[in-house]
Amino acid sequence: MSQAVVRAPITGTVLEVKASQGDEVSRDDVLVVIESMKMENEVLCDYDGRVVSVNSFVGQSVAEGDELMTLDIG
Amino acid sequence: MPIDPQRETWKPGMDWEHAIDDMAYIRGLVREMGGPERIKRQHDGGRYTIRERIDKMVDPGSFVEAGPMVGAAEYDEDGNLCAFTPGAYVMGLAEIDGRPVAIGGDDFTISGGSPHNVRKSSGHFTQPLALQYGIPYVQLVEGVGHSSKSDEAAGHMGLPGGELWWRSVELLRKVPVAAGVMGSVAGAPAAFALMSHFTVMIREQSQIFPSGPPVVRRAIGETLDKEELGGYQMHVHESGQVDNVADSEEEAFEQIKQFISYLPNTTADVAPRVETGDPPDRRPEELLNIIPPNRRRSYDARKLIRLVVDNGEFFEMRKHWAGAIITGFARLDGYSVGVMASDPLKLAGAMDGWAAEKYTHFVDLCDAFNLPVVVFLDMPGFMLGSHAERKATMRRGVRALIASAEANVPKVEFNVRKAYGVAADAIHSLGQPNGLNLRYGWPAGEWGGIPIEGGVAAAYRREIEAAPDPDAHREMIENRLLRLRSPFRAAHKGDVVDLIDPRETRRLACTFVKLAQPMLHKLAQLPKRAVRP
Repeated sequence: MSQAVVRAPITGTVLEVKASQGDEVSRDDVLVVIESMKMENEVLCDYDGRVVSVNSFVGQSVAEGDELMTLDIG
Repeated sequence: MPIDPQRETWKPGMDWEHAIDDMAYIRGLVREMGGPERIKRQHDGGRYTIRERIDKMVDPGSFVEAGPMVGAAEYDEDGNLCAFTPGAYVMGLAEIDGRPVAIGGDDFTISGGSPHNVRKSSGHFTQPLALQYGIPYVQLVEGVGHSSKSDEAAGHMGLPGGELWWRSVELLRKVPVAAGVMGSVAGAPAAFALMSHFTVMIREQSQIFPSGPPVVRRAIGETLDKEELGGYQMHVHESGQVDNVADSEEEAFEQIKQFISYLPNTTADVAPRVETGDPPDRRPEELLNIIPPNRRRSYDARKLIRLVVDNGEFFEMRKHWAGAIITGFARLDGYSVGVMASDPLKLAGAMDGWAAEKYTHFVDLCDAFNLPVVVFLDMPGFMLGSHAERKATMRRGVRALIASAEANVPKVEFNVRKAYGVAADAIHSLGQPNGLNLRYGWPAGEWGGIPIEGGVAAAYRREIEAAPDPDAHREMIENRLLRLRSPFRAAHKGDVVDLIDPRETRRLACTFVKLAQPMLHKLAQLPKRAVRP
């Protein structure tokens, strides 16, 4: 089993968390939305897999590179 | 190379047919390269030999080799050839899609590409040919540079004289230079590869670094394999050192061919027009609604580009690095153009240090090759925050401004949405003061020195703080200013040539490029500097 860490691509505030622990997710699904630079920046899934853990919550301030989720990618 | 011991070598005084037989005999030895075992090893590693690479890349039958006889030749006391090893470099003239090029590459089947058997390099023939004929130069690099074994053979360690590089710089100033990084490349060959206008490496086959893992381990104790140290993840995605990645050697050849197709043969020429069959007055209906009504939402900027350019064909460079700005070549009404667009999906389209560097390099490239520039701008300003500060974002942003001011190529700019602050001014100022700087606005266009949000909070801070309900007061001021943001108001003042229906974008861009052609021919005569990669 290999895992992938989803990281914040931009510093900002978490506006939405769109996947929960155990969810099956696919490439290009929106996982998290981060408000930054007056934009809703969508964090897209790079893999097909399953959410192992969610490390982000709505309203959280995140820095570029922070861990948002961990995925099991098979 | 086994030599036939019975064979008598031609000597002065013998007949010409014998000499011609000997030429054919030596050419036969040359085609054997490093021998069947080394060729097998190359193939087992999933890699082509240099001769196969050239064959696959150029028009069939067009390769005319230069220096095939250069190699380590030994003659016995009777004057007969008794040993021959070809030099580890293959080069010559060829055609790509009917256009002449100078092409060369390392033969990795001979001494791993290290030049310690006999000196043979691009400096012998291909580089001078490219410079003298004024044709593109293609290098397929697979070598590891200087070897300690050659020092031992020479009996001393030479002090490099620095004479290796000037011709490569001259090439960067005068003709298109494209490099394929075909395997593990280190030392001087790595530097030669990077002295190019376009570089491509192959996924999990190519690596590039000053020194490979054994030297790194010895020097700093870091233990990484060659892919971690200098593979495509490191250099196409993370460092931006190499422009593009390809999935196979064939794809790398195709990318190099495409790159060259958009450029003129020299920096003193204008790119040839190609009949694309795409009408310049085509109205792409999808452009009308490509910008979402909610200005906080993103859209597919590459789709926007493809809707405008001829047949949707866009050759992107540095796609995986500094993503807030998209850069590449396309055609409009058959004419080559440099295309830049903001990507709101990456850093909200904001300019950070890397995006500024990508912009600067691309403007220099277009200016060197007399390519008009088409921009689709949606930039909220400089990227803010500590991560961006660490990338020296404003100093690099200032370099972007300087690149714009020094460029002479004409520009047409479509302000498709946001354009704020000094960062957007780098793009706005391209075409000033001596060029052509056309700016159009789309209905979603909004621009200024500072956005209303943030701008109001800063400028009206005391008034807001003194209000009974500061948030409500701030919102009231913001709403008051919001009306000023209408692009119509700026259009009334002449800030844009016109506000346009987005579906008119292609027609206007094609007109611009066509009218710019005579100007480009004049710009081509200006002296050029080497484009720094």
